[in-house]
Amino acid sequence: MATREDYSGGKEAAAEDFERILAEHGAAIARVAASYARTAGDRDDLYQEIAVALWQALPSFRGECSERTFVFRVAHNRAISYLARRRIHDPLPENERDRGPDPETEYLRGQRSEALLRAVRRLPIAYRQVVTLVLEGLEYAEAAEVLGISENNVGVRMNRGRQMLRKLLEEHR
Amino acid sequence: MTADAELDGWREAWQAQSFVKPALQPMSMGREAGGEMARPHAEFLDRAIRRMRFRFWKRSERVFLDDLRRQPGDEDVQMQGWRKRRRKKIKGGLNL
Repeated sequence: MATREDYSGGKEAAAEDFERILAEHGAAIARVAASYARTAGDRDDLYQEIAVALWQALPSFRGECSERTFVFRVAHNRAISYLARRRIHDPLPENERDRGPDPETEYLRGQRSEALLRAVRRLPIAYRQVVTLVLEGLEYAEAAEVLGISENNVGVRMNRGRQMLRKLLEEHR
Repeated sequence: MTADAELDGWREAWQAQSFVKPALQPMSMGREAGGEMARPHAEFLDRAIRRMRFRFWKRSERVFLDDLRRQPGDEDVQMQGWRKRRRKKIKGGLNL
């Protein structure tokens, strides 16, 4: 597990740590960003914001949790800030959020991942957070640590989120 | 299909998505390196942070000025919580 000393070796060392973290967790961060952003441009912006937030937060990482937990916590916190800001400055009616084909149509076309992403985007935030973390392969305990909620709560949200996800994917079948 | 198999299937589909592209790097750096993107470096990241802070400050300032422009007798509008908090923060001296 990384310790505080690992991240306080000056800017060059920090840049290397940062680069490594992005290489290891970049794909997962991008998927988290995609679950909050509506367009590819928004997703890239959010990805960049999360990366900057990680850069800022890295010196304060004390190694009290795993690096993966730390990365996901920063990513989710930044994503929530992004959503809050978007609601203030860029309101969009609920029924206009998804203009593409419905999840089932895409599912039938074989674009399973895309359909899943669209369905995940439709989940309420509380469930979306848990579902994205579990889909990224985090254990309930890790997800609980990332979100600052109890493990039981993660289980409850995951069950409800899973039911909603199933419904979203099947509602037009 | 069992619940676990369903979840595994979703997990597989989820993790099959790949959105990563070179980020946090100015375009010119990539071009100068002959198309190969240079690695992110501390100075660029610091500049990005300063830009974000500046944008936040500009937005805060605009909101604050809007509040100041309200004159006695204007239509009484309930101030939103986020605006109240932001105003308080700006009055407290922009400690960003």
